[in-house]
Amino acid sequence: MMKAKHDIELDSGGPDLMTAVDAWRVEDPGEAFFATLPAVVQQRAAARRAPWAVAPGLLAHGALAAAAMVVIAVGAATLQRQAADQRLAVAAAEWSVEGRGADQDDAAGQLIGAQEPDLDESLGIAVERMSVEGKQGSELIDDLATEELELLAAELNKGKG
Amino acid sequence: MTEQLQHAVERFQAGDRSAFNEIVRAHQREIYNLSYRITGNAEEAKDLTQDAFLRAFKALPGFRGDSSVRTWLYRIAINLGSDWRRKLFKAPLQLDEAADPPAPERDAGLALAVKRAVASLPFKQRTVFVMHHYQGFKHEEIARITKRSVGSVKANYFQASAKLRKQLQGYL
Repeated sequence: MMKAKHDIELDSGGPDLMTAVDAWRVEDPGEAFFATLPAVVQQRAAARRAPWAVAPGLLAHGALAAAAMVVIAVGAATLQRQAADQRLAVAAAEWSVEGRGADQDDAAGQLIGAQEPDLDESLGIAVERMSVEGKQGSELIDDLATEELELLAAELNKGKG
Repeated sequence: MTEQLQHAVERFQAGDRSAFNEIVRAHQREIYNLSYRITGNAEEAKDLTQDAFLRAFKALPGFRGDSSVRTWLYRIAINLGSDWRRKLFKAPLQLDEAADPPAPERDAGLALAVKRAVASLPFKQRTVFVMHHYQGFKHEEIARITKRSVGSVKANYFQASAKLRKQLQGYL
């Protein structure tokens, strides 16, 4: 009972907002999607096992090549993500310390805030948290609004050029 | 339901692959709904749902039952949703704006405004709002699923509600 009351107190929107947001309905993917999903998942899982399963005990050249491709693909994907996170962290650190002066933790926020004043504060806080608290780039991304993320990505891409 | 699914997990771990179908059928609609609310796009939601169950299929042999299967599936789907969002580094978000269910004109305008407003929220706030409001989870349950503190989850919900109210004030 206490928890429910607490939840209501925390609901800053009130019943009008909560009624309004229900106007957005989930688009039905169709019965066929749900009817076939278990089989599709099992097929995809089997397809991924296939190169190894066809030659039990002995790796054929094809299977070896497939294994190498998988290792390369996984490695590339991992590096790509690490690179994105690292790029974000490095860029924020550079902005906040080297490029903009150590006294300006929210340098990236100011940079983008010059174009989008409404985003200045939230982006500045996010960058500060990352550079001061050692927050990981991936966690920072989850804290950013979509618009902020797009703007930050655009700034990073400018830096690459 | 929980006992049946627990039995299905045990059968799967004993080698009965078909037991996985029961787990999918029990949770596929709510995982799709969550994915749709996170992505705002039916095709992305279908892919995310498939990927979530595929990841579950591969990880289920090592599932120890520390949480319920449902909690575990939601955790997988949310992690995949977070991964999906990082695609913004490669391509901008594509909201599926033309494909919403038919609705009277005024409601359709509000529905699109809500979709855009929810999509604009930071991922953590969006996830918490969707899980609490649309999926019916309590804050404590969301905290368990996302492995965060209840206070942090409540703060996210409060912030999300405030932002949505501001963005939708023309409709309220």
